[in-house]
Amino acid sequence: MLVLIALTLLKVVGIVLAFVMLVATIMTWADRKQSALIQDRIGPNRASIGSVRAAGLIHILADALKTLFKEDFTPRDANQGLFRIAPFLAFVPALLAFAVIPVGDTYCPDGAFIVQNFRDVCTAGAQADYFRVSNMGAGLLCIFAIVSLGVYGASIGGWASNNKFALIGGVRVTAQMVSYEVTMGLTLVGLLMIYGTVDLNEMVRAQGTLLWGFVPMWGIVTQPVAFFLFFTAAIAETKRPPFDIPEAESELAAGYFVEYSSMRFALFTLSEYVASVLVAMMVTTLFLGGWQVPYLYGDGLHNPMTGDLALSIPYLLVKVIQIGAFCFKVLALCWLQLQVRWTLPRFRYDQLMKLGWKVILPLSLINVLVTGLWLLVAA
Amino acid sequence: MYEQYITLGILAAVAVVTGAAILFLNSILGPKRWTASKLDTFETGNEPEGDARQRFSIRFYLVAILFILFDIEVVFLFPWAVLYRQYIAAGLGLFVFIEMLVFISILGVGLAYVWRKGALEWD
Amino acid sequence: MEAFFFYLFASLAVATALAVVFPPMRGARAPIHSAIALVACFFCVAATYAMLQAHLLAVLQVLVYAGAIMVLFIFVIMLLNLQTDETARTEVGFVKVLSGLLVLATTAGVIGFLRNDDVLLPISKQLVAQVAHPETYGSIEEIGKLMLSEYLFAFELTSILLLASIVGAVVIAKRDPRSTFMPEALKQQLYRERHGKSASGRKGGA
Repeated sequence: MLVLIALTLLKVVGIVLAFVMLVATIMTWADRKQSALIQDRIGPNRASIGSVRAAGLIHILADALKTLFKEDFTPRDANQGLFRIAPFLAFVPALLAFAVIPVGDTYCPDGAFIVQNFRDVCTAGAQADYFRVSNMGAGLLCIFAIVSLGVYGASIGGWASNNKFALIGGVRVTAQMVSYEVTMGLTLVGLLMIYGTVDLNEMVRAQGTLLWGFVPMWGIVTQPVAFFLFFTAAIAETKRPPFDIPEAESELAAGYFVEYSSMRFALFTLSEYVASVLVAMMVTTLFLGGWQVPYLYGDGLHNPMTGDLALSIPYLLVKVIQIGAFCFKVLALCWLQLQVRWTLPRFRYDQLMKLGWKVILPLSLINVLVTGLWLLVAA
Repeated sequence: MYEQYITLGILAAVAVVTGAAILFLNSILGPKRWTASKLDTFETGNEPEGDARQRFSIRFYLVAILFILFDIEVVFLFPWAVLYRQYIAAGLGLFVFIEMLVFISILGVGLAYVWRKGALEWD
Repeated sequence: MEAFFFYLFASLAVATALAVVFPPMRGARAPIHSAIALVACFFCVAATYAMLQAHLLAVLQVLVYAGAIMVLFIFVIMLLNLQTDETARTEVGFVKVLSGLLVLATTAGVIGFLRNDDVLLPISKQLVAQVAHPETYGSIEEIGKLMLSEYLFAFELTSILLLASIVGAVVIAKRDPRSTFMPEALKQQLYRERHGKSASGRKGGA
């Protein structure tokens, strides 16, 4: 029991606090730099330690310190208790969802395994989950359950503020998040049909299979339509631009968190960036093969044509490469989200609802039927 | 046996403690100079007028209730999707496909009805 | 250990359920506190499901009840924004006394039913037997298999139930000025609101 707790704490610190939080905070900087690039400005570059400016990265530290020294107050007319607790309701589910995402493959004790059917099968003892926090069997459903709880932070925060902007923002955010939650779920049905599991690590392992002998069976190959639909719906679920109608500054000031200040405000914004990282991780895990590197299995690189071992690599190094590949994919998708954010203008609310209910929802239903027919005919 | 929930609980605890620690630091370090106008409701600089809690269009309610119904549909689709290939392998693919076709088409009728009635319009 | 957690979650579930009915605050704030207590109650119920090895059910309890239905509740509270005078009707009436008595009678009936060894013993034996292979028990595959075989009819009926709810929701919530379910006066008023003019010009054509 103590071992379990210690190991879990280690994983939590390593995956969630170190990786996720780090990427989320760096995204706050990258967001500003990206906007500067697109608008032909220089962007943040003033904060410095001594003479080190690190391309403006010091601003992350400066912002965090500044926010810590700001006043945290509750407006007189707000519902005190709910107002104070709402940032937690946004922040905790945002972090909780990372529990079931596998950063790397399960680990075989003593490195004893054979490569069978494009996956490492342990020969001595049970495989150990060192690279994800919780080995929840219904991992994907668990993520959806947690994401669905994320609505409360924004809606209760907006309601408790007792402010007109906040209330409109809160209502909009609830309607938007619930609409896109449905579409997110529906786009993934086709994926579940192909891989036949809701366990995320099993799903990644299945994506190591080769199609026609040389194409890795990543989700983006087997379900290209679902990839675009899911990515769109997931960005909308994070309520970041171009889907940021709930906090549209030109009409709602800051939307549901307009009354928040200092760290409570920072928790809201941080949880939005954390949600972006979650989108990147989910898309990586479901559609981009997670920690998979094409043709790389536990013992090394395989020749896709013959299936023989082409380059032997030590087991531990393979694990490191795989985790590195996962991180690379996640960072690339985070960057892609920033690119989308600064390329597309904000949607109108009716367009947003139309996109979710009238485009993505029917398309994903058709996708399910087509996938079903295709699998049936192929068999 | 409860490993999966214990680990999830530990992560939740860490998340709560992290958030609480940040807010605690903030409450120590931040100033406390409350003034009457600072505690006023923010209305972009104007005097707050009337009650903030106003009634909203019923369309939002319709969206929320449609969400529940389609969410339940998705929940029912998941077990079927997971098992689909197993059933195909067992030669029952067509049967299971038609089962789901019936389920989806009945709900497709629902979606078409909602669409036709203009409940998804946002004018 | 197990018993401890069972009693913990069970008593928390009862306590939060009581908090739903008797919210700590009166007036306009009562509904939202009741709703939050109900969310907490659903979590405790999900925990007890998890302890029964019903893993999928536990996740779905959170997904559907805490994450979807309660969102609707809170949403409605946000949309309606009932004022104090509208929620203050708490006087004890005949209906309330009657429903309280009915609840008590039902509870007594359930307890009496469960105390009967013929009912409870087979269930508990079954539970003990299933704990022996917990790996697949309660998983999405197992439940899916049952759903697509033994409970197929009920499963297909569910879609009709959902369809009926969709239609019901639209009929109640979507007030179309052209709708035939509405009195003529209301129709005209809505039409005026929409187009900012008298409905008389439209009468002939409609």
